[in-house]
Amino acid sequence: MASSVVSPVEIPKPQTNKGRLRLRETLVGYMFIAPNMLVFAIWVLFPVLFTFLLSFAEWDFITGLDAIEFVGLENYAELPNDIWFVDSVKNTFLFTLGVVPAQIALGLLFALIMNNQIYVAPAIRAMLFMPYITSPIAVAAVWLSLFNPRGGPINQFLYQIGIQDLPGWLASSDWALVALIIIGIWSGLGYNALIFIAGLQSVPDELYESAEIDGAGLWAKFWNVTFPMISPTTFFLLITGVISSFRVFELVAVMTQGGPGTSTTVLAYHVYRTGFVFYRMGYASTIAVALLVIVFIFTLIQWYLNQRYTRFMRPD
Amino acid sequence: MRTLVRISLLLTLIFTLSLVAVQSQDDEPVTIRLWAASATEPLQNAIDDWNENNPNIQAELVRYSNNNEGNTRLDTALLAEGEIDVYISYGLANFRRRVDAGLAEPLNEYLPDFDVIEEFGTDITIIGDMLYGAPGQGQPYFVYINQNAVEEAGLEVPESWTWEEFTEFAAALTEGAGPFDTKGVILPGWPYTSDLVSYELGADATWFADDIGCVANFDNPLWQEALQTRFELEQVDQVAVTFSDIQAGQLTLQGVFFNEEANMMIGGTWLFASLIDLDEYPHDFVTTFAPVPSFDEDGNDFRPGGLGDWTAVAANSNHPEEAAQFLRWFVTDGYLNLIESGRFGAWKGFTPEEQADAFLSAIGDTAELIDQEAFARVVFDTSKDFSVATMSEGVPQLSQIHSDVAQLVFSGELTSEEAVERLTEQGEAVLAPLCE
Repeated sequence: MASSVVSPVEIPKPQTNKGRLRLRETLVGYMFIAPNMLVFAIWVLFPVLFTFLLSFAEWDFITGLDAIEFVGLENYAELPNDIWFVDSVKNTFLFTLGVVPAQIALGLLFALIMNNQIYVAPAIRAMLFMPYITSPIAVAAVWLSLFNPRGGPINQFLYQIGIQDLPGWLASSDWALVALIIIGIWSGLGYNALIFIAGLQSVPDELYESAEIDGAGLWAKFWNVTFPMISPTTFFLLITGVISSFRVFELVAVMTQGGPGTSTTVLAYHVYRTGFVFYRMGYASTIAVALLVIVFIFTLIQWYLNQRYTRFMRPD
Repeated sequence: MRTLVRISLLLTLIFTLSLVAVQSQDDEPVTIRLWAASATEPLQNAIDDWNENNPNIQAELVRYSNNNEGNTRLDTALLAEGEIDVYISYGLANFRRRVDAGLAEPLNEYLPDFDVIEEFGTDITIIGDMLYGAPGQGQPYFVYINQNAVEEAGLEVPESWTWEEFTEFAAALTEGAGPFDTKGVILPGWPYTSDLVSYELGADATWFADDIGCVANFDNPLWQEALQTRFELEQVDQVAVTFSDIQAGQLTLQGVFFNEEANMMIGGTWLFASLIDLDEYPHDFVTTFAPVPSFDEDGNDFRPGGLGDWTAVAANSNHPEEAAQFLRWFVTDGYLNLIESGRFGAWKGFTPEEQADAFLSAIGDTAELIDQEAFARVVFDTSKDFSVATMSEGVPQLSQIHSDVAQLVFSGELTSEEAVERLTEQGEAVLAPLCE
């Protein structure tokens, strides 16, 4: 099959039907990827493009497609004046800032522990990974009762250890986001730990041996061998962690519905509410595009740092 | 070979066509479908009742859930031809939305003598001179009171009261200020302050100071008074279960009241379904009733509560005439079938006694747990009408900012003056894009 496409060495080509054969092979290739491409085009590409289009319009989506009214950049001009948009950007940033570093640090810690010989390692690994695969609704239901400020175990424990001024958790506009951050860290911990374990196992032992020979202690080994060697893993988790934290939705929708006040309104939730509760699909699309731009900028920054920092550390 | 293929195709075509021809000459009774989301049994009783008396128009019930998915399912089915004949929208916003989208059939030609204004007290279903449907349910709100607790405290339930009098009464019914003490009252799990304001001002004036819906009405003193009232009930006098407790513990009115963790609750007739469900909510005290307290001495200007079960004929129905007949029956006499689940009709053709008796006899023994005199007097007090919202654009946003701010007032983070200032400011901001 390939011989007719690339031939740096001059093999005498047979004359018959080459053009048609190549065409047919190309067609066969396309047919193989067609189902996947079709699904992708209909369910991913088209909605994304349609969202871009809608971000320049006003549309109450129930009344049918002919109700779409193009308003140019008006929606974008509305963004800075939208009280919920400003708050949701702030809350989303805070959430990401709270969740991602902690997830990575704790994930790495667990991975380092798990990487050594410990009892019932498979069982512990399973327990670690369980939160990540549990249904968000189930997670929300359980944490809701844990965080109950009146009778929940967390506040009871805090009271036992002597804290008088108990936080109101999900009912307090100061603590609601903190509660969500805690749940966010808990959910993603196992995934981070698992990826780190894989990364740790790819660090060659010779490096550790030579470090020991040079008299490196535990911390020195970590800082000079482990950490630099797993920096690609770290950056991968950082980027994917930031992207998925920016998109947090189910936790908010199930546990707090954006409240109390606007303390847990995040961008994805604001998009949902603007589109499906206020019936302003056009403006909701605008907010979604804004979210995309923010995440994109962050990813670019991280990518740049990745290129600069990791390449320097990669062993050659 | 080819000839054989062609002949067999032709035969198949002829056969199929003849089947179709036979179908269309059928003389079956007309079947119409009703899409509804309330309790199945009473609805089915209504359908059976109609079917018995109307052999040539047979009705069928299709149940949907009144949540986002269910409503989307209904919206989609409405677009299809012949799929739905009569449907009930829950919430005026849903009804309006479907009418605006052209999914409701005008009824003027099928029911020329159907005067909704006279029979239901509202012209909200008449849009641009065309009648699109009628409200089936009238859901009043009132105070449910634990009679035993009242007697133990040596009190008497008044026939009307202001919020001050109510607070005193609730204080006598409150065990203490601790989180596990029985409280005097539990209020609804949403801020409810907008409802309270609407009982005085009417649904439109609650949100808008003008006629076109571009100026919010938050600087009306009633808003501050309503927010202050709930704040005081919860935090100052401590007679009400706090809003944050309700949120954090996901408490329900019925869960708390029938468990005797609060001695009063304010809500609508939907709570009767829990009152008669002694398996889920076992209790042995008698429930008595009083009207919702008002801010001034002359009582609320409107009847607390609202209309619901907005019934319409689908625009894509194949039998609009028959559907219209069914609709008319359903929202008038037919609605009495639903009374056993606590759904009372909005039709003015029902007398209060008729409905009260129908309900009490439908629930059998549990009627002993209801103070029947107060029940008939308070629940069926038709001296005032429900207020109905005619302006809907921008209301969800205003409602959301109100909800956000109200929560901060109830927890004490904002005073009611600051709250009203913030509401006015934010109200302008959210209405601006809709009004330019």
